[in-house]
Amino acid sequence: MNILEVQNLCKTYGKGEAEVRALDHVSFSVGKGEFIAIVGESGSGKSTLLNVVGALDNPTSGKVRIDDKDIFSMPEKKLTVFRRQNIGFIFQSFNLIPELNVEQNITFPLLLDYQKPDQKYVEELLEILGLKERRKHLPSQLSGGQQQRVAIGRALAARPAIIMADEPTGNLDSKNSQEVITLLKSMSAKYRQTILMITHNENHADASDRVLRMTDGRLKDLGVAAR
Amino acid sequence: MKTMGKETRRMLCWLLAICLAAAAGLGILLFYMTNDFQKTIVEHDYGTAGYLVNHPDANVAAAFTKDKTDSDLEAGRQALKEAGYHENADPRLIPAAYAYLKHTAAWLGGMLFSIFLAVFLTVWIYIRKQNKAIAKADIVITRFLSGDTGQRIDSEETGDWYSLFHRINELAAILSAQAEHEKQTRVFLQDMISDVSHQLKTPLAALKMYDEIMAQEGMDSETIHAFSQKSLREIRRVEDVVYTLLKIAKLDAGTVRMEKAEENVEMLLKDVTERFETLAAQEAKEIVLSGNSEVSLYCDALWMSEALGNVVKNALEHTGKGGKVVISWERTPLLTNIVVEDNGTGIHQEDIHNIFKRFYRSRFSQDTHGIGLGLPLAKSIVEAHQGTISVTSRVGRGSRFVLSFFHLTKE
Repeated sequence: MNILEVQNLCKTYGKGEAEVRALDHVSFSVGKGEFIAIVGESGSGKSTLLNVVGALDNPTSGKVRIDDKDIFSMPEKKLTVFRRQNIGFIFQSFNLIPELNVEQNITFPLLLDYQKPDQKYVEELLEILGLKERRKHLPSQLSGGQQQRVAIGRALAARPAIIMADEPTGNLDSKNSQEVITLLKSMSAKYRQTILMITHNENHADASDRVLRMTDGRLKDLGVAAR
Repeated sequence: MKTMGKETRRMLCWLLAICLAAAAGLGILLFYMTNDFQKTIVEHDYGTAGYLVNHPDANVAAAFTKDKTDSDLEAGRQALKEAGYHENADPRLIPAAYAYLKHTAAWLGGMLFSIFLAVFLTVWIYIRKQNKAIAKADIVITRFLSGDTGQRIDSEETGDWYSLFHRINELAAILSAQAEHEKQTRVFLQDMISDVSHQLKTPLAALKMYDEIMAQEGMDSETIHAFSQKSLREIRRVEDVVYTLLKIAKLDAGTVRMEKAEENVEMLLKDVTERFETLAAQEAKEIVLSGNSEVSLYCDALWMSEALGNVVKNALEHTGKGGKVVISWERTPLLTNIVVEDNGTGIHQEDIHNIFKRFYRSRFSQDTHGIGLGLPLAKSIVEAHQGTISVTSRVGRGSRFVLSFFHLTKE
């Protein structure tokens, strides 16, 4: 059983002559706990893929099943709740809530579901992410790397089925990038967290379990790295 | 509701008991209220009757309007007591009190009834809903247990039950993922065995051939010397494959106990590079160490030097004559990074995501010595230290390997 199944996903923009195929019959599946990197040049359709798989955008055709549920057959209201409980997002631009402090930003998705945050788990996350001393700081008082670490904590807090990371190191220098990637990788191993990550640098390989390459809307599986 | 659970039955019993207790309480309240009312009304009647007794010629209206004196009250009490009309009489014998009793009993009883009806209805509807949800979940779980691993409980709504169902779904996902993982492991083992056999087949074939040549050309000592050298090389190769595989297998099985201690990074790297000094000098390559000599890393020194050795060896193998390998390290608030940088041939884009795969052979690299296990072993070791290894490379300009480790305080 796979945590994520993508079948024949197509997404086209425009019509007739001007038609652009952002996704061209993309199929792949992801097992629980896998850390997957999607590589490809800009404009190859990586971000479109992540947005459609993460239910932020609708496909032209094709199916996405997360935890064996067809997400596009759900009514919008149900999908919103499903997305919140099952998909965590990490963006290039962090997208933290500026009025909330570090700890509040991390527990925010849980509070939306009227859940009581598991305080022990939150403490553990703050410890691993190196944010324990900064828990009461506002995002504006943090560096880029620290902000992205908060975003990682927020994505992990709800223990989602899958985390989508769209160029999480795009706005960071190489030192902070290293930290963020290392954190993501070790979180994936530690909590058996499934992570789908987009990276833009063709000349760089991270310690992901599997690499998928996007070229002009088509996907190629480069296979499993050493396990 | 087909069958009621023990908890539900117990709750309904409690509710009924509370209902009965409330009814009893209401009965007592009613008794006191009636008594009170009776006392007031009888007191009033004493006054009126007494006034009439004391002033036999007064007009009837005056008996109600005039203030009563104590003697009036006493006279009234005496007069009415004889007729059995007193404050402690049975209320049913006093028509006004009896009417009040009936009237109030109807009101209070009605109120109590409607409140408990509402409560019972609410509880009943709640239990019904809950039972339905649980019955549905039960069916799904039964189907899952009987082998349909794709079954999931509907959990898109928010609420107590649904977050529990959500957790159950997660559990189901983990279970089926494990089954899937086992299947993959079998396939992986199969591939591994075929790769290993392939890696051993080549040197063995060569050895067989060398042996035949030596047997045939037994007289020529020069040929024998040359081919025994060649044999030795092939034997070393087999040895290399076997030992590296054993190490990887140990790491895979998780049987290795990492004897971690604080190790000085500079000392660790000096130990590693010493092994390559002769080799590097022979090929006019340079190894440079640079970094703060205070930095330490919490690791198993033996395994870590194995990992670093493999990365350095790889760097040396992919640099030409006069190449340079720079090893640097730094400590950031979260991580310790060890960087191995070379100015060699670099890694082709098609290869870069594959170099950590076991037995991977590049189509672009001229190197034929490697067996494709060094970097995978390094990766396994780094991951056993909760670290990561990543690489950036440009063809013709060189490669940069970064090994990152968390500062582990516990574990």
